[in-house]
Amino acid sequence: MKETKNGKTIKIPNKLRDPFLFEDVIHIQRDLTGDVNGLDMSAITFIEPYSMISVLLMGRNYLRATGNKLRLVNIPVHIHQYLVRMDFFKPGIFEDPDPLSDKYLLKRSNLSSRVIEIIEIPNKERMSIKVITAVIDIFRKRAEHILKFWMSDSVIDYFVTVISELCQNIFEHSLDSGFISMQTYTIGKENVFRLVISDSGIGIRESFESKKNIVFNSTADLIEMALTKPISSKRDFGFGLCQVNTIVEKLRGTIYIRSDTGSVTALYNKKKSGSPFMFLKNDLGQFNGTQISISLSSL
Amino acid sequence: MVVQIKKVAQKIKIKSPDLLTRPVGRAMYEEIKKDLSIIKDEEVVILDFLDIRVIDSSFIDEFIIKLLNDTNNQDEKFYIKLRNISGIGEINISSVLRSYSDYDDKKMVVMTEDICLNNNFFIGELNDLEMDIINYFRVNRIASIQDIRSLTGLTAEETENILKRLNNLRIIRGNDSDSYAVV
Repeated sequence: MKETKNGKTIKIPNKLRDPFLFEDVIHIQRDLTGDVNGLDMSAITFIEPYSMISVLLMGRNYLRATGNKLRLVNIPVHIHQYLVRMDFFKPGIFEDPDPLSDKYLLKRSNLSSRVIEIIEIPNKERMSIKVITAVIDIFRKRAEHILKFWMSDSVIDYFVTVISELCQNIFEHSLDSGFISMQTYTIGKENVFRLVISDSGIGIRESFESKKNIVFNSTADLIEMALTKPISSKRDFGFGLCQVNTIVEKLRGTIYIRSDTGSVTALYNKKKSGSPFMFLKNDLGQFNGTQISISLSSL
Repeated sequence: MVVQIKKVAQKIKIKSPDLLTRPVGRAMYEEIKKDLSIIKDEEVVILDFLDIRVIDSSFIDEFIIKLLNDTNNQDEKFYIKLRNISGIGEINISSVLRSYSDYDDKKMVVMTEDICLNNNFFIGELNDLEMDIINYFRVNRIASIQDIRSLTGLTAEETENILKRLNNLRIIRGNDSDSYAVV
């Protein structure tokens, strides 16, 4: 922790590179109270969409708890450029950092349309449907760039289904708004596509609180059930997560779902007959809501 | 009756090639019910999904499942047949129908005009015998109980029970007292 004239800051470790590493960052939220009002980004060399949206949710939780906006300080220029490009500061959750000069702003052209910027999914049905339609419209326009390495008409249609199902879960179950973003990026020789849809609502476990007929041993156990069986907290059946799981398996991708203190990872890219590909974790650090990351990778 | 789904969607101001979400499914169902008020008893209603790309499971649950339930519940019984369903549409319909079958013990099947990914002209799960009978009807259009007995080697009672079951699923039509026809 470091104290400056504007308040105390906590240094975020350089672990914003994937959803699993982000676990080492979540505990910071516990310390974001009182006079600690900033996150020091100086150690960050890379940030991917899941971590970016999770930091955004951290900021929102802080804003709701204290009424104040968090500050991001010592942001490396290339991280700052990326965050601005992804509309990270647009929801007004963080204090605006010193603006980047025009020469540093990343251009929004066809060449940079391998992303969908952060878009808020409202928690009201009517508004949400408008936004989902708009997101899918943007996705269809950019899909040939975003899914360049996995390109086919059916892949685009699969992801339209995935986006629709997961975004609907936000307004149907989370009782909060959420965020969506996606990007294709390259690490070494590996091309990674990542779709992230996250909220900081009531989480999967609480949404099933009234469903006494659904028996589970742990949060991760319940997440796995929701992923593999058509259970619903509101109706006789819920098809959304199940359908998403089927599609990710078909595409040999990976899905990571984290809710409250549990997580499930399904590595369909590693699935071979007989070998484990589904991993459940409980007793993780508390992080409100449900965060989902879906990835495809190609070499 | 042929219902152009794209036109119904346009009536409720949907211009997208995708039909997604429960509210959209509910709105489409309410809209199409107006058209269905004029159909004859035992009529085949073709839902033509031309130019529709993705229909998600939420939409399917609110639209197609409700219509399939109506085929047997209404005073005017009818049949549903799907046309021009996209690949992802078929996968999503199949998954929803399978859920009802696996977890609610409620078998649901819908006929299609075009050959599906499962190499059949229906979406849903049928056993081998039922599949043989449906394929027989597709080729022969109309078949008597005796014809089907010759195909299956079952007794008249057993054969009639299967045919009644397929008729209850609304995937073959009653033709006269002794025969059934393809939907």
